[in-house]
Formats: sequence, structure tokens, C-alpha cells
Amino acid sequence: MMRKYLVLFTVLLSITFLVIGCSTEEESSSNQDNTDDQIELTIAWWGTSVHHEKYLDVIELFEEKNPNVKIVPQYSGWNGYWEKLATQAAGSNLPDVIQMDYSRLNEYVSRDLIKDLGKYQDEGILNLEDVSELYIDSGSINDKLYAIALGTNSSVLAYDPAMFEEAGVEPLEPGYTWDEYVETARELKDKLGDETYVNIMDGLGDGFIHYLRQHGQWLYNDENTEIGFDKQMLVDYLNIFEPLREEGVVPTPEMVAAAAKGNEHRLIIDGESPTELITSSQVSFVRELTGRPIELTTLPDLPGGEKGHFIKPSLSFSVTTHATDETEKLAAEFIDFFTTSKEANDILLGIRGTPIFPEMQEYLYPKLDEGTQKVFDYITLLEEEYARELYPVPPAGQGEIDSLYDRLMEQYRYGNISAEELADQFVSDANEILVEASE
Amino acid sequence: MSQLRTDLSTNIKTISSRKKVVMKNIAGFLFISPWLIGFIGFVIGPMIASFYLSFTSYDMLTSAKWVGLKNYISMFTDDPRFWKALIVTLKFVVIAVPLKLAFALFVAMLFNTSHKGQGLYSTIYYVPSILGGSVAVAVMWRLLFGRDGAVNAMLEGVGLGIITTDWINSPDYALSVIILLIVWQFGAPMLIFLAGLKNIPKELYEAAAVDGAGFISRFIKITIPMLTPVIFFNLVMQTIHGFMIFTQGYLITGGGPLDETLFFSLYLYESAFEYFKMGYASAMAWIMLLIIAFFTAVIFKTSKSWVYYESEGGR
Repeated sequence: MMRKYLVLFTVLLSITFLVIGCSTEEESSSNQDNTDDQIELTIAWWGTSVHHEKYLDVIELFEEKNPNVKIVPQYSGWNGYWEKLATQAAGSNLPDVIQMDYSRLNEYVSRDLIKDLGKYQDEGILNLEDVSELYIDSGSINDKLYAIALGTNSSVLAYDPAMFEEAGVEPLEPGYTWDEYVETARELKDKLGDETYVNIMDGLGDGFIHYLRQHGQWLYNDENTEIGFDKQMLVDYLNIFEPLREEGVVPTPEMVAAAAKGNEHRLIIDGESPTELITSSQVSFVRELTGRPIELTTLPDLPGGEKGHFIKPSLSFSVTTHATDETEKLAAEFIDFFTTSKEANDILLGIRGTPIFPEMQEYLYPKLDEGTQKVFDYITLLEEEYARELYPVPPAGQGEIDSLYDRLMEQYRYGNISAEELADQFVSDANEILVEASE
Repeated sequence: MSQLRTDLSTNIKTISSRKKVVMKNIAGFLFISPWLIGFIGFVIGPMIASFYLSFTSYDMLTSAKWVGLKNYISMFTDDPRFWKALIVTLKFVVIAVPLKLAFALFVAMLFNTSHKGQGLYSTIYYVPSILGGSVAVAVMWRLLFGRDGAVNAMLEGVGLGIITTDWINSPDYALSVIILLIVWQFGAPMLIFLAGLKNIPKELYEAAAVDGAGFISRFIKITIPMLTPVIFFNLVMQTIHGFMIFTQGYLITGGGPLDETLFFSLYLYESAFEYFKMGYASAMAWIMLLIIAFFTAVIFKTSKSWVYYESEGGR
């Protein structure tokens, strides 16, 4: 008899564990709903520990102001963030608010995972009246508002003024040309010696896009179904730097491969290159690692060409379709608080780049250190003189196309393929990826 | 009447004993239930799902679309990186496994003495195998063999500065660096070899020594044949492990440079979690299973002609 009960007990116990194990989250949230009418809002973002701390502080502040709200944060680094979201999307339990990147927006919108926030703009919860069209467009697809930018981002050529001085070479003032860049690089290498190289801009996402835009072209056609630029453009582009490769001005392929392993391996940090093409959101971090003053300048100009620069959202908040009507409204309120309240901006201090709200830009500027002010100044310079509208939202296969380009570029650097072969291969393989992604 | 009674009682007895057996089994099943639930939920379930997904196009954000054999076909006809990954993995297995086994055997023979503290030594030498798959060791390896790494510093120290290079980012050496790490993790096969060595009867060596056999002929004529069952076991295990290599490639080289260390599982992971081609990745996983099964079968088939079992009278 005793044993019978024991068995029964064990069965019950294991079933209980199973049930508890499968449903802790729902259980606790429904409990809270019943007892204190709390609303739970889940927010996911990626970042570094510095970002996490600041975000959590803002969240705490928001909770203080809204005692009936319980925010559940989900944070991680960039690595693993999209994997986790995809898994959650597959399991229909996406967070209410997710941090969004411009490159993924299309993917999420086309799969009906993101809600249109236009309603809250009309209701005045999200007040975007003073925000430049540039930034509203970058969060919109087909005139529907899907993302609110937390800050702005742009390509920037960072350089170490001390190394320029050491070489006795004039710094590159905004408005310099491609030829001037090549000439300056050559001079720098000449004066700085064997241990130093000069980075060039042969990436797809920053350098080549800039060049294409200057020639009034874009990577893809309007429907994102195939490559939209002239193949020869890519060859010409790589040929700008060809002399520098031959003369050994450019870092070795091994160095480039090592530098690609992570931001902390960038060549400017150890003084192995006086210039480095980064984004404005990376400036403070690079400055911190180098421990030396860093100056910012534009990418090369094309005399007679169009403007190449663009300003894009560094990242945005989006509300997912898994949010209920109740949490959806709350999510909009949270996004508004995060982006336009002075309290939140006091904490964030432009950590995600220059705010898109002019009022907040002005409010923050005097509170910033000199380095961050330089970034704000740079963005203003671009807005006024060097930038035009952002490129269209990239297609779903963008990630794969990026790595295709990187792989071919590596082959090219090691001398296994020519610039023409690279261009041929890139266009044909990218077209295949685009067809597959649009199916 | 009494007849009926005994019938009834035996009936009751069998029923109750059957009940007892069931009860006993339930208890048994309950005891293994944590494993059983895990096995069904985390192994069998995902396997069935992955088999289904391998015939679909699935990006996790939208539901899976049936595409038939398309994944399998395009893999073999239209994806040079798939072939590259296969070749790299094969190259790795063919070089790393024999090297690792040879090294393990060598160390095992060093330890196969009755010196004091031999247990301690073999424990210490086993440590790399425990740590080997860990992130820390991979990072350490990256630092050791990087451009400013300890290996280059040592080479420079002994006047070999000319041959220093960035080992990890050089297409010629990257794979060798990983092979070296795998060989360094010789502990598991070493312990098995050690046990095997201890089982070889001393009389055989003594008799051979009396007949004037030197070390080398004793090794070839006695040690190797007597060890073949152990070699066989180690070979199978290490080959299977070799095909599944992931962590080291992922952390040290990330598949590069020039895809020279793009192991099969690394490419599988890339397809799944960077390009979100879950269907394609699932199909790759099944191909991997077939490949491992094939090589294991080959080793088993050939074993009849080279593995010597004493218990079977030397058949």
C-alpha cells in the first residue's frame, strides 16, 4: 500500500514539475494581473554592458512614473540577438517592444511581425512634428510608421591627428576627393614607415555604397529582385585603390582578416593605421580604446557627382504584432518617454547617437563631453552639406549578400581573383540570393 | 467447490502479480523519466522536426513551405561552399584523427611504467581534453597563434623571426592551428590506450626479449596487434567526433580565411542562424549523418581484416 502511494506521489510530482516548467511565465503574469492590475511589457534590445545599465535605469524611471507597469527586459549582445528573436517569432512569443536595425526592418514588416505606429502619432502619444522627414522615412515602409529611431548614425572617416602631424601630412578636410585620399595615404605610408599601413574603404556597406550613390546608382533595382548597378562600377571602385595595394600601402590580407574579428581589433586602435572608416555610433568607443584624440571627417567627395552620404537610424524601437491592444499603447508611451523625455535623455546622453528630436539635440549638447560633441557637430555638418536621403530599406537577403561580398573581397585581397572576376561573381551570386529571398 | 476456490485464488494471484510487474515497471520508467522526457523532447522530437524541415524552405519568421528535394539537390549541384565545407572537414578528419591517435598512443606508452605518481601524471595530461572544447581554450589558442601571439614571440626569441606570420589568418596555416589544438586534446584516447597497454601480458614481451627482439620489433609485432581492438574503438569514436567539429572553428577562425576552415557544422550553423535557411541547414544535418554513418560503416567493415581479438582465438 505504502509503495502504491509512493508511486502515485512520484507521478504527481513529476507532472507538477512538467506543468510548472512549461508555464511559469504565463502563470506569474496572470497572477499579477489578478492581484494588482499590473501590466507587463517586454522589451528586448542588444548592446554592451554600458547600454544595458543605461536602459535599465530608464526602465526603472518609467516604472516609477507608472506604478501599474512591470517591464520585463531581455537584453544581450548583437550576437545571438536575431537568433533569439527568430526563435521567439517561431514560437509566437515575441517581446512587445524590440530594438530594430534598418537592415532587418523589411524582413520583419514583410512577415507581419511589426505594428504600424501611425495611430499613436495621430493620437499625439508619439509626437514627431519637429522630426526631419529624413528620419521618419527611414522608419516607414509604404507610408506606414514601423520604427522610431533612438539616434542617428552615419559613416565617418576617423583619423588620428597625431599621426598626421608626425608624418607632416595635412589632415583630410571635409570635401576632399578620392584622388586626394589615395595621394594622402601614399604620403602617410611613406613617412610613417614599415609598421604602419593605411586603411582603405573597400567594404560594401560603407565605402562602395557611398561611391554608388555619388554616381546616382543603387545596389538593387526598385523591386529588390536583382542587382541594380552597373558591374563596371565595382571594378572602377576597386581600381581606385589598386595602386595602393601594389605599393604595399594597404594592410596585409592577414591584418584585415584579423581586424574583422571584432571592433577591438581595428587597426587605428594600435596605431597600425592613421585612418579608419567607422560609423558615428562607434566613435566614442573607438576613442576610448585608442586612448588618443580622434578627429572626424567625411568620406571622399566626387566633384560633379551627387552627395554620397546618408544619415540613418542607428537603431530603432518597433512594436511587434504580439503586443496586445493594452501593451501596444503602453509600448508607444514607453518609446515616447525613452526618446523625448529629458529625464531619459539625461541618463542616455546620446549613447545611441544624436537624437532625431531637435529639441533633445539642443538640450543634450551642452551636457556632452568634447568627443561626443564632435559627433553631434559631424552629423549637423552632414545634414547641412553632405547628406541626402537614405537608401531604400534593404531586401531580406542582405545579411547573406554582405557575407558574400566579404568572402569575395577576401579572395581578392589574397590575390586569388581579379577585380573583374569579383564583380562578375558578386553580381551573379547576389542575384541568386535575391531571387531566393523574394520567393 | 474447493476446485473453484483454487482457480479463483490462482486467478487473483496472476492478476495481482501482473499488476505488480506493471507497478514495478512504472517505478522503473519513472526513475528514468527525466532522461526519457529529455530524450523524446530534445532528441527524437527535434530529429523528426529536422527531417520534415529538410524538405521545406523555412526562415523561422514565416511558416515552413514544402519544397520537396530542392534543398538536397541544390546542395550538390549549386553550392560550391557546400563542397568546400565537405572537403575541409574530410581533410581535417583524415589528418587530425590519425595524428591525435598516434600522439595519444605515444604518451600512453610513456605512462605505461610502474613509476610512482604515474596516476597523477596521466590525470594532468588528461586535463586538456576536459578543457579542450571550452571557450577559454579556444580564445587562448587565438592569442597564442595571433600575429602578436606567444608563438611568434618565441620564434623571434630563438632567431626564427623570418617565419613568423599571422597563423590564424593565413589560409595556409589556419587549419593546421586547429588540428594542433585537437591533437593536444589527446587525453581520452590516451587513457583508453593506457588501459589497453596494461592488458597486454608481460610474458609476450619477456619471451620476445629472450628471442632478441628490439624495441621496435616488439612494438610492431606485439604492442600494435594486441592493441588493435582499442585502436579500433578509438578510431571510430574520434572519427565521429572529428566530423562534428564546431566550437574550435567557430571561435578561433570563424571559418576563414578564404573558407579554409569552413567545417561542415560551421557552414550548417551559418546557413541556419546567419542566413536563416533552416530547411537547408536541416538537410545538411541529414547529409552529415549519412556521411558519418558511411565512414563508421567502412571502418567497421574493414575492421575484420585488421582487428585482432584474443578472445576469439585470433580470428
